[in-house]
Amino acid sequence: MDEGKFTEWAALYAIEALDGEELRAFEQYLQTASVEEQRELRELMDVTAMMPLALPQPVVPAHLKARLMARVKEQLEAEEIRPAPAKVLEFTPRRERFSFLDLFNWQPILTAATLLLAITSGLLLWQNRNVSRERDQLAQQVAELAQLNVASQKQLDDLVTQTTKFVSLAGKEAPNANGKVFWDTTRNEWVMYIFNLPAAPADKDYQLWYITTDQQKVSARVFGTDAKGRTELRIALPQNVAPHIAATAVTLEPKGGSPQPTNTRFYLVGQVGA
Amino acid sequence: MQDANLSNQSPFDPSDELQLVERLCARDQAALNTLYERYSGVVHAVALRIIGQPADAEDVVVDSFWQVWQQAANYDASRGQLRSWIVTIARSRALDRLRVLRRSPLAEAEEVNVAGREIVADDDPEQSAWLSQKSAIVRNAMASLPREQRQALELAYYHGLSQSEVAERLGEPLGTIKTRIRLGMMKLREQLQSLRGH
Repeated sequence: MDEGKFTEWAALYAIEALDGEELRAFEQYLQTASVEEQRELRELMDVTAMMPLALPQPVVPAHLKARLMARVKEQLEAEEIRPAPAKVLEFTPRRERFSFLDLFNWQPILTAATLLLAITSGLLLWQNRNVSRERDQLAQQVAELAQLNVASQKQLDDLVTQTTKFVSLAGKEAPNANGKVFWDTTRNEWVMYIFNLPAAPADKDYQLWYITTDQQKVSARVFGTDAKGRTELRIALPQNVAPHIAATAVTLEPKGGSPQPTNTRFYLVGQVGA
Repeated sequence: MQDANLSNQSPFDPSDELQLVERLCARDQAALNTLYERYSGVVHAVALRIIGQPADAEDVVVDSFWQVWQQAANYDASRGQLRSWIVTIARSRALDRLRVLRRSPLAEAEEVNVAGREIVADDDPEQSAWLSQKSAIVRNAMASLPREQRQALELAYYHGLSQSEVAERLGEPLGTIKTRIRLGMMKLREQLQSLRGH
């Protein structure tokens, strides 16, 4: 661009009259303009800015500055009230002093504790239900035992009265065996408990005998025992025999019993009235 | 023509104006007050000349200094004087307002009243005297221009018309308008050489 063209365009550009393709071309040229060309343009722009000094300038109304300063003051007050949006303060918990508690990450611990508490509560609830069930069962058992106790007490009362005789049995054939007879003399009933008798052979049974004062042997009962050699017998004494009973004995007899003892090997024997 | 030695008498030290800009950036209201006292007269004159309506011109004055307050950080001293920057802002705001109002004063009927009032806005006697002298120099320079050149410059500057629009408005060839504007600008530059930089 020659000097004359540049000066013309610069003058028009400085007063903002350049337009169209010339404006675009000049602005593009300015990107590579020399220092001298840039200085010339700046001078022309300064000249343009001085043109208003030639204008008649009436007194500026005083209230205009008041309006301007009021707007500025309002803005400054708003900026003081409104926190700066770009500044986001990061919250840092204040630590008064070091604590070993700070070493832990409490979030997972609290979560685990909550879970453990929930599980424990569930277990306790389940156990409580079981305990309640067991309590009901125990209460039922207590009731049954109470009833049994009443029955046993009645039985004991029946056995141990002022009219009850007690007979203890033992024998040489079975040294560990023993027997107890509670004789209700009022009703002439025996309640007999036998313990630790050896198991009877398959072709034999135990048989209980009344032995009278005149040495008569009267069969009282053929019985067996459980696996532990135990049995309980309730026997109503014959009216014609009861007043004469002097002793009682147990022998091992053929299967089904015998009208008379077949041997004198007493497994149990006890004296009545002793 | 006034004495060209006025440059040495300028109360507006460029470093002082840069400090004012820095204070504006720091939200110093006193700096804005100083700038307002210094340049509100010319800003008001430009606005009133362009718009022609006192009320709208007053709004432009307030809006122009508000923009200076808000955009002080955008000022680039290497691209011109602070006064030029402020006047350019005022001119742009006034032309924007004019386009909105759509009531432009008749270009051909309006010319700078070279016999108008001098600057009296400032309380600082030294500053007022300097501005008065400077204003007189510019008025004389404008008055020395041939009427056709001055008219072309004023249509472009105060009415915001491009060279093509000026040519159309005046009914002259575009080349003729280009020449008038170029010659007018060259003569002003020559006559205002003593004022540049202040």
